Amino acid sequence: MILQETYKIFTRPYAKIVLLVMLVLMLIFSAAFAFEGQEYYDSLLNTFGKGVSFEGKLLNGNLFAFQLFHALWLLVALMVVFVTGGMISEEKSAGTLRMVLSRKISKTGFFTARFAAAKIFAFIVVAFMAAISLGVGLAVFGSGELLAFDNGKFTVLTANQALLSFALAYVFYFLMLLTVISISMFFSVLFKSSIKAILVTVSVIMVFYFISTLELPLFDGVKPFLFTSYFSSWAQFFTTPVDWMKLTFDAIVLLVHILVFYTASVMIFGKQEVLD
Amino acid sequence: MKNDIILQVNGLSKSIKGLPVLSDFNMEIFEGDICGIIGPNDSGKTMLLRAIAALINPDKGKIEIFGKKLIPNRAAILSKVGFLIGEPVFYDHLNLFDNLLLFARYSGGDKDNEEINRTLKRVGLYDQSDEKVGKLASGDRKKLAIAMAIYNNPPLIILDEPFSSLDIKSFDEIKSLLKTINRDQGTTIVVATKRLSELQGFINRIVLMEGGRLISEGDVEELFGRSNVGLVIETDNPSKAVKLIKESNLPVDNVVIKDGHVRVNCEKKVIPFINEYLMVSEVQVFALRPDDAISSYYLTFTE
Repeated sequence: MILQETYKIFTRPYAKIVLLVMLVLMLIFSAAFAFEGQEYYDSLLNTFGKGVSFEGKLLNGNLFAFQLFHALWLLVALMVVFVTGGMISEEKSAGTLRMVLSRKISKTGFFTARFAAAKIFAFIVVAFMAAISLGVGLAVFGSGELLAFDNGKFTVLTANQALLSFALAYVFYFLMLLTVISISMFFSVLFKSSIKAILVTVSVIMVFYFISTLELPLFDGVKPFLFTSYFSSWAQFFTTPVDWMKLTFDAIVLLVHILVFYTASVMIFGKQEVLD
Repeated sequence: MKNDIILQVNGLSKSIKGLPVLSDFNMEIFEGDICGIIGPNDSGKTMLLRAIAALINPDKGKIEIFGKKLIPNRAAILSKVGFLIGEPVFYDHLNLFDNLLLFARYSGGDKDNEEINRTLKRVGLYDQSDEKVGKLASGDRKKLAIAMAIYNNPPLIILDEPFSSLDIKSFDEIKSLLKTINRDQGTTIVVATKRLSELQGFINRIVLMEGGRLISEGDVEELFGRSNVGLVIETDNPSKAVKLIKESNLPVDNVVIKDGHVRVNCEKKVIPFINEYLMVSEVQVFALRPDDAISSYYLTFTE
């Protein structure tokens, strides 16, 4: 059943479009990195003075993958919503839900299968991103130490440390995508129109993320309660030392959100009548 | 002797946004029946079928299929029922084979290429099995929906307006296919339609509904086997009309005045003679109509 639902996702054009757009964005970034990268990073290093010591080539595959991840993570998450936001609402508006639910399969079974298929889609998106950014990056630009900088802080990681950080960051990013998926599917259950479900999900994420990133004391009390405050925690895997306690807490917060939105979706969907 | 009851609806009521769509509805269908659920638009037929498919939650009443309550035995029951409810819709970007496969799996079945191909052959769509469903004509979409309902030979098939949008040839083919399934496999078939004439010579049991209520149910022979129909005659002079009809040699019964109109029982073939006789006798006939819903259905059914 899960494979069947995954098959349904990939026979729709949206999934292919998302992967294609990701590829295009990556190609644009690759070109910019190859042609302008050295100049950009040299000037960046100069602004931080001589305090950073670096062995080998600065412009390498690890830096390429790191910068690409930074550039794309939120865009990709929003693109995933275009696929998952219509997973239930589209079945409602097309009427296929009536045809499906007059079969043996239960509403919970159907929703769970679709949710699992969305998870597989998210996994494929992360794997695609990892394969292109790390695979192509290392093949084209070679390996080397990673000069990771985030929020004005530099961290130098060895090539091996960088690989481990990438692996953990992708796992966390997958968790973040699952949170996005569970929210989008929740709205997909609430609305009959896919466009409405997608727009509301994207709007909620954008507004919450905007508040999460605002450096204003006014919102400090609200930020811990916004799931978007934990979205970019994957970047902490590229700092030393890694704050495992905080990362574990952040992961638990996202897991709780996934569970809450999944349970709420199943309960609401279970009570909905099929009148279309 | 009657067979076992395969589908029983008791006291089913449902309101949507405060408007009753089913009111204390009762129905019994027996194993091996081909039953027609007949009613005009908005009579509640589709809502009844949705309740039977557990797509809506009734406000009151219960449904039993195969002797078990639908809730909580939904999955076990629905795995043995083939449904077509409302306009058939599919995954238009997939081909016919894949659509049938998907729905087979939703019904709890495994991938069985042979059975899928056999079912497509039965409804005459095998040659188009690789075509995208989005390209199908409406009649072929209906055939595919019927293929989904009959897939894997369920003991009960419930079809909502299965013959609409079929051309005459397809209509005859599908009707004949359903008859064969009923005869050879003992499959119980329930067909909901607003056109009673579609079911002539096809059904053995009938359920008449209107406004979400049951008007009548029974065997076709019992209900329509009678020779007489109740007739209301609207005239300018009811008393004179009654006198004339009673004095005539026309084969009629129970000639009375009711609510200002003449009411008689007669055979259908006598109706034109009554009309002619009254007109010749200078009684103006404004209207001749059946005096109740069953007589109305009877007149349609025996056209």
